[in-house]
Amino acid sequence: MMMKKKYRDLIIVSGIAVMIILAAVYGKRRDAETQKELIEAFFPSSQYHIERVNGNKWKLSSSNLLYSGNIYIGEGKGYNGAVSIMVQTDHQGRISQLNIIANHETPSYFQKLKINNFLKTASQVKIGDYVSGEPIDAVSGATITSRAIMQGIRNGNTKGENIAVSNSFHPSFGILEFIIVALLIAGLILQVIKNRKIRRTIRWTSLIVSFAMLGFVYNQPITLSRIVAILNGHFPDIRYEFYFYLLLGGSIMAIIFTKKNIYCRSICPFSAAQEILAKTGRAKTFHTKYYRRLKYLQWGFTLGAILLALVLNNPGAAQYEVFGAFFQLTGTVILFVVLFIVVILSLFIYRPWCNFMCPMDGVFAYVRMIRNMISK
Amino acid sequence: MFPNSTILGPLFWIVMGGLYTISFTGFYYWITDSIIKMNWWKWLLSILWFLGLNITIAGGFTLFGEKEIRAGFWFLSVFGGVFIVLGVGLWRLLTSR
Repeated sequence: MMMKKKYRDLIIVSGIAVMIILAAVYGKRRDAETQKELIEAFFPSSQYHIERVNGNKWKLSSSNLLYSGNIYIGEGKGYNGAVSIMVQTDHQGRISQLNIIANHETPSYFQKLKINNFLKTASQVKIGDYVSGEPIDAVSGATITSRAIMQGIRNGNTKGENIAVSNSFHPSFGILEFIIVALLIAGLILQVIKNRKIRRTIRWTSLIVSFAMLGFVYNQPITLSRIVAILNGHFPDIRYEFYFYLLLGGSIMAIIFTKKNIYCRSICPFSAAQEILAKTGRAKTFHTKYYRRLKYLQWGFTLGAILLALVLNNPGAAQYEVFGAFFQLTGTVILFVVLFIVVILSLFIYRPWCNFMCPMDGVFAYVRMIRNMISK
Repeated sequence: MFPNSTILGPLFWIVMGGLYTISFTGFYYWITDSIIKMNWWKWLLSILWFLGLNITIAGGFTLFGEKEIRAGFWFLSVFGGVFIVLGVGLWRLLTSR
């Protein structure tokens, strides 16, 4: 019986891994073809003469030879993966056109950039000014996407012109990182303390800090789109997003060493929100004989979303969490409807999102499955 | 509200006034007959909640009337959701011993 279970787990774990790898490979091939078509669409050969200088720079001239300039293509690290930027400059380095040719960002972030005229402001600066850093301010609420665009401009220019730049990879350790380390330590302490009163105090302090800071102030929970971006080979920029490595790494390590999912239990800001709602409405745990089946459905849905996002090479497609809608009031109408239902249900059922809908539960269950399989 | 009628507007507000009176007196008698013990701050919180809920509904439907369907929908959903949660919390507070 034990052997049978072991083999079953092995088949599930390796089967999921194979599916993820195949979906990622297919998605990458599909995206490369689409990107090439996109570049050609901007400068049709009937009107422009384009000469490739290197992988990041093209010389551009109009067919009647009245105009000449350069095109630079570079990549920046966005929230859900690479943001490809195409910059057209005149011979003096003034930006005449700035286009985002490929990205996997959540549309609401781009909406914020549009409202703040970010692309217009970014194109009013000379391309050379991007070499030394970020010449304009990032848009609040879409900081990572704004930085990715500036990084993409710099990347295209420096690589295209062979300008040597010193890339510092030193992560910055700020308030957010400090909070995450404190929350991880508190989560681990909860595993060893026996006194119920102290446990309750630590857990509720963690939840409230997470609710306020990770939720409302920084809005940085672990999302499925970020997991998909990593599976796709797009790792977040460690200089600006060191907190993410701490949060994900710490949560996975906790599962490996203690078998406990401390992230969902005491760190996730939305689980904190549901705990508060459960306290308000005296919510009860939902007991059903179909619990196991509902759990498989939840995990199956997570796997489906991951595979779909990888095939489409768009991590944003996997984002069906309601965190953004709850903490920042950003998201699609469907997400707001789901959020409304979840909030009302949370008053009467104990943590319905965590128990039956959250994709992160599936991700951590997969990690736990691998851990248990290896330990056996 | 009723641009093609001079009578429907006043009638509507008479009906609304009647409904308010019925709901207030109904709530008062129901609460005094039940086991819930009310004091001044419980009454104050209940009235504030009821007023807040009314303003939310009125605000949302005013936006619908102004053809701001999207804004009305968001207003009702966000503040309606908040008032439902507050209502459950208030009910717990009223029934706690």
